[in-house]
Amino acid sequence: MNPFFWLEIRIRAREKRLWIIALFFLLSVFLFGGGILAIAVLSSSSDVVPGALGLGISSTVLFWHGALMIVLAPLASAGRIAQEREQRTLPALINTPVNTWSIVRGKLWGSWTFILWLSALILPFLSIGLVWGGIEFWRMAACMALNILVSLMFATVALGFSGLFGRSLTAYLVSGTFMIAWMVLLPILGSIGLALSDIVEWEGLQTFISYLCLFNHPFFPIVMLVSEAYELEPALTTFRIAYAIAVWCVVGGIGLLLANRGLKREVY
Amino acid sequence: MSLVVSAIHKTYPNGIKALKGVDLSIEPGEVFGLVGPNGAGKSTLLKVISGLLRAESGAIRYNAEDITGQPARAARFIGLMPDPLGVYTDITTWDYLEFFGRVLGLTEEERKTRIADVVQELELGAWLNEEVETLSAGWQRRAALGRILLAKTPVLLLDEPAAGLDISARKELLDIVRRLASQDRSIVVSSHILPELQDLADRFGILDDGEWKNVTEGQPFFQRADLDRGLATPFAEIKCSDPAAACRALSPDHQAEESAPGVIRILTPQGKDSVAAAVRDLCGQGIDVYEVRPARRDLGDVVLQVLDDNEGGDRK
Repeated sequence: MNPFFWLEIRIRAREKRLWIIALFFLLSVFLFGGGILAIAVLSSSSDVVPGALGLGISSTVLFWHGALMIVLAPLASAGRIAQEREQRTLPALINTPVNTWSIVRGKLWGSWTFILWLSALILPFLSIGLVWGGIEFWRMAACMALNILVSLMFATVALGFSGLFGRSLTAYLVSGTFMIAWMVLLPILGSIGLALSDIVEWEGLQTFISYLCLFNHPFFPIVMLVSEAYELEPALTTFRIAYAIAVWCVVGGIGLLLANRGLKREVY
Repeated sequence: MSLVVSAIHKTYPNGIKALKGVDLSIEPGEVFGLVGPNGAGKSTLLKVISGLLRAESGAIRYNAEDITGQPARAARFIGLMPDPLGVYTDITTWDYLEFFGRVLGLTEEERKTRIADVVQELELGAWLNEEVETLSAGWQRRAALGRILLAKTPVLLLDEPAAGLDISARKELLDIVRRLASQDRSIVVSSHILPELQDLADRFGILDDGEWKNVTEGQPFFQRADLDRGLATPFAEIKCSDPAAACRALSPDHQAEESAPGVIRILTPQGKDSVAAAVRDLCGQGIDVYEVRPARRDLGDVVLQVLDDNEGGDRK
């Protein structure tokens, strides 16, 4: 076992903050999912359609899971390397036979484990949605996997910022800014760009803007899968989802490189 | 079987030249005392040796193996206890040692054995289940030393190991360092606590402004025995009836000065002959001489004098 992963697990398991986050996560999914269920049942004038209810629960839980994980993933990893600097423990680590990649890997496994563990907590809620029906198992599993994948990507990027910046607060702030920029600003810019390209009626530009600003959005694939878009154009939708995943992987890879570069900069 | 540092130059990104051609060679079993004012380059030198900082030029070799600027390779031979000491929060002493045992790539069996040895050597047994963060400064330093000892490196670099420790913790830690040196390890100790360092180290060097300062003509290093002999400029202390008159009678040849009430200190370049001549002169002047003894110069005196001389030299 990677020693840094071992230490991460050892330390994090004792952190009260971690358990509070997990509790908050669980509670929010429970309240949100339960609320949607209650509203659906109470507001329904006719008999409740099990499929519609199942789809409602599943999509609500999946979107809520995605949103929470995108916020929590950077929180789980943005401090991991910067904290070593703040605690002045990096010299002791560099004065060992391990290389910087080993440190990055251990930190990464640590934050990824946290994400997977949090994600596992929502499985009971999803199974309720599955029991009610309305959504196929493969679609639900794919949405869940995409949520996890995008969370892992955000965690990796945050780790990169953690390696790059000396203070964990800076790493948290930059990770948050990056997340908001991608989630909110980029789609807004994309929409403005599309509106403008409508005026000039240049189709190529529209496609380019869509791929640049919209099709790589963390929620894009899951929206495609849950909505009817997949049924209408399965090949094109699959291609676009694959494109989004590829962009996430590239961004995550850049995060890894940043983390390693940050550690390498310690020896100057 | 030694650590050899040759002509190391290090300039920080802000342009400060921290080391200007520093040489050093340390033999197994030797404790080297690294002395100098703040900002002299002591910590920089230790970090460069251990590979934590990269030198522009120069070489560091252990047993002729080049380890310059290669922290992972240097770590096989060199253990650094940095100052300030960094400790993990939320981790017990046992976790701390276990973690570094894993980092070193030790097998479970090796970890068990070595941790047990280190715990016994450093008497850490009572603190194994305590969080490192909550330990006193002295025990934290022991834990950090334990981390280095797990690697069984033949060279230990200790940067201010006694900083912030009370007298008894200091004494205990220095006893441990002595024991480690007796196990044929080469140890470099950087410290501002000169009386302890004087008792601990076999050899000393004074670093200032990134270079060794000569203590005697062309000689930057000196032994503890040299201190006892008064280095190259021996002194004697004479207890007499009239110190003021004695100073007048003996200066300028002996550079006499009153060092304590009723006691003068004189320069004795010719050893016993100088002492005999001074006593003769005093008796000839009617000054009673009660006691004559060689004056020991402690490390602090030497460091201050060398630094003062060098400042004077620079000014000239």
